[in-house]
Order: sequence, then C-alpha cells, then structure tokens
Amino acid sequence: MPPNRKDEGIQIARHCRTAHPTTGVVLLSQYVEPSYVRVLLDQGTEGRGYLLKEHLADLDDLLVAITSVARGGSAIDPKVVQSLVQARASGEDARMERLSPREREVLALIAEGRTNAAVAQQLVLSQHAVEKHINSIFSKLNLSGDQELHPRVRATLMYLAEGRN
Amino acid sequence: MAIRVVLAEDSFLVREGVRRMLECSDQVEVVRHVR
Repeated sequence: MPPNRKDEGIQIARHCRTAHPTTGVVLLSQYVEPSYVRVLLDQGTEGRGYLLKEHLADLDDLLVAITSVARGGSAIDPKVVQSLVQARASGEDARMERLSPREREVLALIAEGRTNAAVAQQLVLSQHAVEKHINSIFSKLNLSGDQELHPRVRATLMYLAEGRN
Repeated sequence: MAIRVVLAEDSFLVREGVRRMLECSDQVEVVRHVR
C-alpha cells in the first residue's frame, strides 16, 4: 500500500478495528510518514504494526512483528518511531495552527472525502475560492506535489492526526 | 497453532516475496494472498 498513492491500508486497518476487533493488522509500507502512523494508531496500538518494506528481508523480524500483533501487541519499525519523534520535535503539529478558521473548514470537508465542488457547495463558495483555500492550506502545511504522498492525502492525514492529539 | 495470515499487497513481487518468506516458517499460515 498505497496502490493509488492514497491511504487504503490505513482505512482497512481502521475498518478492521471496528468490524474485526480481534484481528491484527500489520501494514507493510514504503513510506516513513508520521501522520500515516498516527492515524493508524489513533484507535489504539493493540494489534497494530507498521513495518517498512525496505526492512522486510529478515524473516525473523517479520515473524516477531506478526506474532506480537497477533497477541494484541504492536510492532513499529524503529525508523518510523524515530520519524514520529522528530516530527514532533520539529513542530510539524504546529503547522496546523497556521490555518485560518475557513481553511480548517475546507480541510475538514476534504478529510471527509468531499470533492472541491462538494466543498464549495457546502460552504457556499465558488470552486475557485475553494481552490485558493486549498493552495493556501498546502502552502501553510509545507506540502508540495513532489513528495511521496499527494498533498491532499497528507493534509488529510495531518488533520486527522491532529484531532487525536 | 499457526497464526493465520491474509496477505494483501498490490505489488506482485512484494506479495510473492513475503508469501514465500512466510511459508518458510511453521509459525504462520498464509491462508489468502490477494492484490
């Protein structure tokens, strides 16, 4: 995951938390993305794992992670843990505070999966105005199109992660 | 009793690589592997 540069893996894990609470989920990802992990773990760390594909060569490590998660524990790649610590230390969370109330409204609707047109309709704005707000959001959150995940997905993850802090 | 594993991965190479790796162990049983 994610096959479409989206967050299907995270969404499946969240679905399983509700629909199959005794089922453990280990996400295998190529992304060291703190906001991704925080959304994964926001409903609890029990039975959840996040491993980097680059570290999958060792069968023993993978078995330890699967066994731990199956027993209700957790398994997070050390590199990801480090990125979580660094993200907090660098004030990534504080970036959300730069958003205006209107930009927060727009981002909240984006996080619900709405299109620009639907956001515009909901907030009684033109689509052009919504696009300007979105560009401003990306700018304030330092999100650009050359990163691994689409800025819209990253902004959504940051918004969801902030709501769990 | 082996841990039952469903492996979901869009990349064929990664999916098969992980599946074959896990099948070397008797601690887990890959019961499904899907794209």
